[in-house]
Amino acid sequence: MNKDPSEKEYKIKVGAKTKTVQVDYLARVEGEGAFTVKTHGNVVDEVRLNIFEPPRFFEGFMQGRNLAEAPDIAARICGICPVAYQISALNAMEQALGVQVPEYIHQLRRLIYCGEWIESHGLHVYMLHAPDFLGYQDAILMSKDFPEEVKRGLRLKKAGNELIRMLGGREVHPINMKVGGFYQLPKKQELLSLVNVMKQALLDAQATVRWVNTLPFPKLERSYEFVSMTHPDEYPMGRGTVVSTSGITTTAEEFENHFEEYHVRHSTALQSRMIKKGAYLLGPMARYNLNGKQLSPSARSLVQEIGFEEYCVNPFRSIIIRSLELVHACEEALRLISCYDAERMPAFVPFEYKAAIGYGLSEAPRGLLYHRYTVDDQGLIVNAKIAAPTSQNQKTIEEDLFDFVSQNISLPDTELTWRCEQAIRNYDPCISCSTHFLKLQRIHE
Amino acid sequence: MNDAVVVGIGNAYRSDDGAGWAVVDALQKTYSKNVAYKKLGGDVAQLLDIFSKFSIVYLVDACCSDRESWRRFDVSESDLFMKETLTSSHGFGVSQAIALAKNLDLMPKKIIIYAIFGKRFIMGDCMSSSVADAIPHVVAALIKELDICTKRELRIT
Repeated sequence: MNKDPSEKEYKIKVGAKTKTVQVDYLARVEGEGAFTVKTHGNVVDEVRLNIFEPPRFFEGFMQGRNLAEAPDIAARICGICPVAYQISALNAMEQALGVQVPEYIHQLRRLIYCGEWIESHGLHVYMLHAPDFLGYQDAILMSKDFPEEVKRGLRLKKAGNELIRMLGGREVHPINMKVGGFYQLPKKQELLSLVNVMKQALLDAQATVRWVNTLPFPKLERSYEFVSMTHPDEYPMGRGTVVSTSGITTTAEEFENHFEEYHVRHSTALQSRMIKKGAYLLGPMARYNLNGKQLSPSARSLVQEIGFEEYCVNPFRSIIIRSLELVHACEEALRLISCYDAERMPAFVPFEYKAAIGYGLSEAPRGLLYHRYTVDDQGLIVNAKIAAPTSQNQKTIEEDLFDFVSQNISLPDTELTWRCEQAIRNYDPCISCSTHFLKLQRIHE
Repeated sequence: MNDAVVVGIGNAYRSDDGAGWAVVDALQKTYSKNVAYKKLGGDVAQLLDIFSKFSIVYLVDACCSDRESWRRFDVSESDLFMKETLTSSHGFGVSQAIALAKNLDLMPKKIIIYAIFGKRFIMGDCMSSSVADAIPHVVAALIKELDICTKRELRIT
C-alpha cells in the first residue's frame, strides 16, 4: 500500500473548537459515499471522502472475454455515462489492433457523446446541484418555486437521451458501437428528425447559463493542477492527447508514467495522484481552463455576455462551466447532424486479432476516463485497467473540503455540512446510487 | 391527449422486479382495444413524458413489502406519493415522478398504480411464487378496468 505523501498538508490552524463533522451518507451523488472532517484544537486533523460501495470487479471479469465485448461490458459500469466507457474502451481496443476509423465514425461517436454530455450535465445542474445553491433539500421541493427551470432541465435530459437512443439503439447502455465503428449507421433523415429537439435544447442550454450565473456562489479559490484532453481541432471529448496546468503533455500510452493509483484505507475506490506532485482535478473546470477557446460560438459568446472568467479556480462556479458545456454539446450536435453524409458508407472497419496492449482515453462528463487492455492473439482480454474520473478526483475533493472547512469553521453545523456536501457535488461525483439522509456528528472535546 | 396507457415498470433481470413487464407482456397478448403499452425502467423523465401524453395512466410495478399478492392504489385519492423526497438520480422513481408531476402541473386525469408485493429483488429472472401467482390476477383486474374505461371513452366519443 502506498502512503499518501501529502497527508502532512492537512495540518492547518482553524480556531479554538474541536469537532468532527461527519456525513454518513452522501446525497445527490451517483453512489454510496460519506465524508468526515475532524478538527482538534485549532487544527483540522483529517478530511476523508469515504467511498464504501463494494468493489465491482469489472476489470477482473473482463479477463478471458473477447475484446469485442469490452465496450458493452464497460458501459455497464455507469448508467449515466455509458458512452464514455464505450468510447474509452473502443479507443483502447482500436489502438491495440491498429484500427484507424474514418473521420465520419469519429464524428458520429462525437455526436452520441454530445447526447451523453447533455443528459448528464442537464441532470446534474438542475436535479442534483442547483438545489444546493437555492437552499432546497431536493429538486422536487425546488420545483414548487422553480417549475419552469425544472421543466427545462427535464427537457435537456430528454433531448440528450433521444440523441443517444437514435445512435445507440437505446438511451441507457446503448448497444450500437463496436470495435472498428458502429453496427449500423443512422440515416440522414433520422438524424434530421432530431434537429428541432436539439434547437430547443440549445435555447434551454443558453437559458441555463444565464440562470446559473445568477446563483450565489460560496467563496473558495484554490490552486489546482488541472488535467484534461486536448485536440487541435475541437473541444476535447473522444480523442486527443493529455495536457495539464503544470505543462505535462502526454498520450494515452504514457498516461501511467505520469499518474498513479494508490489505496487509502477509508475508500474502496483507488485514489490517484500525479507522480511526484499529488492531487489533480478533472472535469468541466479542467477542460474549460485548458481548452476554453475551443468552445462553440454560442458558448463563447455567453462567456462574454455573462463576463465569465477565462480561468476559473472557484469549484462552486463549475456549475456555470457545466452549463457552458451544455451549450457547446447542443450546438456541436446540431453541427454534426447537418454535416452528416455517411449513411451509405461502411459502418465499421474490419480488424484482425493480434497480441497487443491498447490504451484509450476520453472525456466523460465528469472528466478524463482512462482504459488499458492487454489482449492476446485470439482476441481475448488478458487484463484490464480502468481509472474513472471520480476516483481520480477524490483527493482533490478532500483537499477542497479541507480548505473550505478551514476557512469556514465558524459556520453553524447545519450550514457547514450543507456547504461541504455542495462542495463535493461540484464534482458531480459518480459513485453510483445514493440516498438523501444525513447524520451530522459534532464532537466537542 | 390520447386515452389510456399501461406502463410496466421494472427490470426483467431482477427477479420479482420483472413483475411489471410480465403483466404488460401478458396483457398485450390478450387485450388490444385502444390502449397503449410501455415498458420502462422507471426513469422519471420518461414517466413525466407519459403523464403529459395520456389521460389515464396505469402503472404496474413491483414493490418491497411483507404483504402478499398485490394492491391497487388510486393516486388521486391519496397523498401517499407526495411524502417522498428526491434523493439522487438513482433515487428517481415512481413516487418522485408523481410528486414532480404535481408540482409541474403535468398530472394526467388519473394515475392508478398496481403494486405487486415482491420479496426477492436479486439478479436473475426467476420470480418468487407469490409474485408469479399475483400476475394473472393483476392482468384480470386490469382487463376489467380497461373494459370499463374503454366503454366510457366510447360513450364520450
